[in-house]
Amino acid sequence: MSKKVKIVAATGCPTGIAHTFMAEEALKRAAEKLGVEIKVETHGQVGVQNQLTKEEIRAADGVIVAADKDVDAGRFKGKPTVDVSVSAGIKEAEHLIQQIIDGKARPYKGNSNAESKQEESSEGKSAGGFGRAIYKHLMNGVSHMLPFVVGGGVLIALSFLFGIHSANPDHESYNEFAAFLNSTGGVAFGLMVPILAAFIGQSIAQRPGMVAGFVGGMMANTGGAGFLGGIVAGFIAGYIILLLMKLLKGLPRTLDGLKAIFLYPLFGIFLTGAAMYFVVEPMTTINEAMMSFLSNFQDANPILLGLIVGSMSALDMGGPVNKAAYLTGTALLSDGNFFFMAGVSAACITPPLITAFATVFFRKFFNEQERNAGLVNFILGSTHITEGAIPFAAKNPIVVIPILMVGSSISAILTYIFSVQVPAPHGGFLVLPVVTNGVLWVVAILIGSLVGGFIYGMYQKYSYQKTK
Amino acid sequence: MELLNKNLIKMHTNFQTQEEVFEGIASLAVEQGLASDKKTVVAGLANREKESTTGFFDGFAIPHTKNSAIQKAGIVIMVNESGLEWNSMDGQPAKFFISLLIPENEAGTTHLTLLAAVSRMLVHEDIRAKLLTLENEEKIYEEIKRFLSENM
Repeated sequence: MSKKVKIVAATGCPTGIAHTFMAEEALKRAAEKLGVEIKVETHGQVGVQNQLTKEEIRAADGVIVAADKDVDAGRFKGKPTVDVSVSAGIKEAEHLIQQIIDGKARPYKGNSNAESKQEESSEGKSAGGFGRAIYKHLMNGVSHMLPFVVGGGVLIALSFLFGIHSANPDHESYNEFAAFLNSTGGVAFGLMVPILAAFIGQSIAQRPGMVAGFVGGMMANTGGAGFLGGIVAGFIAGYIILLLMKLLKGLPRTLDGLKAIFLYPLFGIFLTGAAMYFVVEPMTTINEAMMSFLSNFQDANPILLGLIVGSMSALDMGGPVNKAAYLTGTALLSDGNFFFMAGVSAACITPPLITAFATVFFRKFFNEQERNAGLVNFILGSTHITEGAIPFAAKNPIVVIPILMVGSSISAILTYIFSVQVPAPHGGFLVLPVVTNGVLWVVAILIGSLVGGFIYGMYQKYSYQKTK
Repeated sequence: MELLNKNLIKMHTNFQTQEEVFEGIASLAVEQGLASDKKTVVAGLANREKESTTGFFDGFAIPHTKNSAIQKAGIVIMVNESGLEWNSMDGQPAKFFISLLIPENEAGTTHLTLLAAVSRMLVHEDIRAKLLTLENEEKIYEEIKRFLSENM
């Protein structure tokens, strides 16, 4: 050891009262233990303390940024830097310093901060790092989407209270206020998928990712690709921007401003749009193929029909497959077949109820946001607003969607076995007065929802305990 | 030390949930004249907790808030009989709560510096171990005062 390793660090947390200083202390103690010289700048409630000078930064062998807020990290550009959350600064202080000592820190990249963080997480330094990064991006999209689903969904549900057709100006029960509630709620619903895509993109590649994701999400939405299309759009947008960041890295720094305001949006939107074009294009074909597939089975035995209708309705909730079941149902309604729609409705009501029951019976294993959304889903489910389940499904589509499909299938199968007739294409339990065998219909739906809710809850419990 | 005194420390509490802990902290703060409105303090603590856990290591947690209902900066300490799920950094349930309460318009840096020192204190595992063994409010108070006077 010829010369003591010198490290500078900056810590900060949103409140600036506790964690900023805990991280400072943890880093100092770890530095002492490892025989390293350190200076820690704190961004707390009092303001910036122990401010690092240009000279100190220049002389340092490495930089540790342990912050959940902006600590002006741009000044560390080019320095070997470890950039982590403030809690990692507290928990893993020694490990962070060791990374600098071992020369494992990467040069800080200034504006393309998102990129270096991305590389770090996708390299899988902790177990399952890539999977976790994907989950983090999904979560960011879902938590921003959720208020749109809840607010819009409840407004639409309220409009049904004025009568199922009260928003239709040609119908005798038309009510102007109900129409207003319905269309306002509809606007919020229309933004659900774009917001999901936008904030998946933002999580991956910050603001440029958000912009491209938003546009991609709009395309998924208007193109009928549903929320699964939105997830695809978000990831495509995010990674396209990361790719652009890599490609444009060689440009002189004086063009940084131009990149953010011009190059990323321009090429990001163009490329995301082009990619989404190919995603959205086959949607109509899928939709039509599913409809003709379904029409072959409309007179099949109740179990097979229920299985198909249930699975289709819960598969993409608003995407081409779900819509095929729904449109077939409404088409058959006008032919006077009220049986088919009963199963479709049951299968559409079930997914939100599954999430609602799961959050009630397995409360402990859901976070507070999910619990509240779960309660709202009793309302959304009861009024045939399947979209309420989307935030839950979008977090982990590969596991949650099959569970929803199982529950919806059970509801639909029982509905067909009980020979329920539903003459209205929407409204959920609000149309019960005109439903034939209404009580059995509710029973069928509750059984499917409880079974699905139980499986979902058990899965949630399992994954909760696994991460412990 | 004006931020902390024996009356702001309560041992052997029997809280069952996070909410109850916040209620307990807020009640004591109102009782001791640190805060005007219990509800607002509870909401402040809960909101901060929602952002990210204040749970730390070895059963310690440091719930804190800067809040309009708080009239005087202060530290409220609760030591619960049983550990509660707090999503802590080491996954252990929390039982030793050191709560920092800061008025909305706290301008002076003295208080904030002192609160920062309390946060720093918790990083020292020997102090944590010591605090867990102390049998009454008086001793907890003395121990924290001693640490702060040596390390400010």
